[in-house]
Amino acid sequence: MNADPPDLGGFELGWPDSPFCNTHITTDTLAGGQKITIAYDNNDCSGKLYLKGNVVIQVPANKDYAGVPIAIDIQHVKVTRLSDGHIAFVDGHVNVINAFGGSLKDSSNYPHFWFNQYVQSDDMSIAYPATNTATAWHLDMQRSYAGYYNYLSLTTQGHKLKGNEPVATIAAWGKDRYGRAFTWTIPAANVVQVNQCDWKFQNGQLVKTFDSLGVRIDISLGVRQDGTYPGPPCSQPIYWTYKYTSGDTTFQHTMPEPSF
Amino acid sequence: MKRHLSILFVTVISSGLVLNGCNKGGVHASGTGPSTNVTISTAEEEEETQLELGTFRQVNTYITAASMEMLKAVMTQKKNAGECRSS
Repeated sequence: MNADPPDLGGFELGWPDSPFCNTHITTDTLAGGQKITIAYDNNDCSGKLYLKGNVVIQVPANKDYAGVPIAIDIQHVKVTRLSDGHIAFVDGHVNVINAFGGSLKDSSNYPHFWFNQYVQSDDMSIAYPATNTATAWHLDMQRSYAGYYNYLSLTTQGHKLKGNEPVATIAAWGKDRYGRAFTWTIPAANVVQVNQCDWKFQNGQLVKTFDSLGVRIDISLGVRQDGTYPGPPCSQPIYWTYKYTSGDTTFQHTMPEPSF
Repeated sequence: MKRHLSILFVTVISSGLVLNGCNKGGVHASGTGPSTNVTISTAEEEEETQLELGTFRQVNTYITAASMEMLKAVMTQKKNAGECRSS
């Protein structure tokens, strides 16, 4: 079932449905805060994935969440790609700190609302049982939400400095399932997702590098089938451009955005 | 000496993985432990990137869902405290 929008007595937040598709949400009041459990056991909004598992959020008691850490525990969520039965398990602890917003007083311009947060994790893992392999991830991102009634956009950018670069671009790093150290950066255009487009990537650029291998992969998100930008309306399939570079070898092509 | 031979054997297998361009020989690299320089085919590289991006989006969704619930909690709390405006 979809979660009900909050009844706020005339202050009804435009509530995005997509992250909550077919979930069951329970809230327990704890001493000093709240424990919110999002239970997945159904297809996601796109109908392409089956999700099973819990995401537990520990929210400390506070009237203003700016600067207060919020713990998200992703508990062995099983993700099954329905098209071919491919399975992955996602585990990890994520800490979220709202740098700005997240409280009612910050929403005085309703129906406009926004908030910024930092997201960090040092123990994300994605396990692939078919090959008995796993990836290990670290996350360090800055995310900004901007809303207007039922429209909500999410902008993600890196928050970790790379070397002596003046602007933080690293969003994630770790080792892939082949044991190779990788880094994901968002160096130029921030990654944008929109709730009304099923959280598909609407815009942005990502770069994955394997420094020890001299391999670089550039991803341009939210393009048309011919690779041109801007991309199509969200009712249409969204594509992304994949560019591989290793030494003198370079090739590039455009493909539909993967569901998983 | 025996230990050194074992290490050498593992190294040879690892080198074989590089030469074969894949890791489908029954030895499974892992995301944990020391970094490797395993080379995979460009097709496998592309599949890997698709999986990572899809997973990145999925994890982003969990965090978004959690953030929305957090926002709901604080706004409901404010409403209960009589701090919500009525229109």
